[in-house]
Amino acid sequence: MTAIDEQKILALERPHPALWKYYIITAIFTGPAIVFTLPYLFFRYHTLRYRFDAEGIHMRVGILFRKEVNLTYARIQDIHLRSGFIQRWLGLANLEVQTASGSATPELVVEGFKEYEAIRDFLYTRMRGYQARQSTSASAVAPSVASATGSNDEMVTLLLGIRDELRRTRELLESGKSNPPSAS
Amino acid sequence: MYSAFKKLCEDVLRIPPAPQPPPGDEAKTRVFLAAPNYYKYLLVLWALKMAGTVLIFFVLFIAPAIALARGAEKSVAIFLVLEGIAFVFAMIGGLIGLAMVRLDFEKRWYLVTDRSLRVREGIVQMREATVTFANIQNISISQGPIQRVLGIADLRVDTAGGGGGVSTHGQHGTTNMHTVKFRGVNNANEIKELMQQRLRQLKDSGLGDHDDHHAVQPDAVVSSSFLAALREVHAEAQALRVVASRHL
Repeated sequence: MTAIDEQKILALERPHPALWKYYIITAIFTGPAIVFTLPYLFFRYHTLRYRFDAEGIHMRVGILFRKEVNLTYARIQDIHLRSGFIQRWLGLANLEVQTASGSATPELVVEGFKEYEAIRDFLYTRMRGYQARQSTSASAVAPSVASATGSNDEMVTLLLGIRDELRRTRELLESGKSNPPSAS
Repeated sequence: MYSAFKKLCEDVLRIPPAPQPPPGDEAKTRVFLAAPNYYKYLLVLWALKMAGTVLIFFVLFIAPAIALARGAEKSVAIFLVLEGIAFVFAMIGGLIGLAMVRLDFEKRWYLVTDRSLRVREGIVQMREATVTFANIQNISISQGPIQRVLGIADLRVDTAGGGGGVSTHGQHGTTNMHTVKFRGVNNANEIKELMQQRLRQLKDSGLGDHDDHHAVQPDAVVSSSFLAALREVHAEAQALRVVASRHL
């Protein structure tokens, strides 16, 4: 994954026009219901907006019934790439992004981009568990051990200090005893 | 015959070539395929389905045929002819289904990389799932009687989140988005061990509480020098008390 690819994905907003072709084909397959499905898909295609930023994916769609989905990369659990053969003819695929919420339907579907493979790699390198190994073995465990030994050393020096204080007190008392006390 | 059909399907359905592993350590990536016996298993299922179809047609044939032999009306004969045509179509459909079974068997890949897995399946509706090991909640292996005879099993990997199955247009009916299945593998245990071994290296697998990893630390780190110093302080305090009591 190069930096140029990342810049490309971060700049993505509107789906590819091929998505509109795909919507027309799916609307034809609904038969007489095309009267309802085609306008719905028309507005869906024209209002569909995606935004990929540093934290997550944002999707907005709809005119009458608006829907907005925001999802952070770190919460992504599974990424499914799903494509019917009509979508493959048009060079499209659905990227279905899942989080741990209880629904069986995907939380967010990234549809209508020809660079779906690059988007998937982009999401994969940011999803939960990709960087897990480095963070647990190198950065999380090592400092905790270091701080534990550090506090141990400090405690030892403190105790030695207490011991020295006590010893001086005793020596003082002993010296006070060897010189006869003036009054007691 | 089959290779021509396969070529046609690959061109018309635009079936992409073998899946690419997710970016990462390429050397550790292992590719598993469905066992040859899985094809036999699918054939058995196909044969059972075909036998059922033939049986239904046979039952529907018998009664009108007897009625016709006893001198029934012409409409019964027309019904029989229509049924014959339907039977021919069902058989052609069955043959296409047989070719699809083989194609479905050939077009499935199970990839296990150092920190994730990727499963590709499906011909008409293609599904390629990618899951990192850190998100796996459990791994289960299931085996039916026919599968046991053939020595294959289904390995199922679940991630967090439930919900009922979603009906898709694939060949396998309902699929849950939170499960990934390695269908028909003959080394399910080996795959499971491999995944568990790679899982163990990850401390934050699943959706558990990660606090307990740090809670066990304090007891173990009390060193011998700390204890020796503590004993010295104790002895010193005792000596002080003795001296003080003598003094007063």
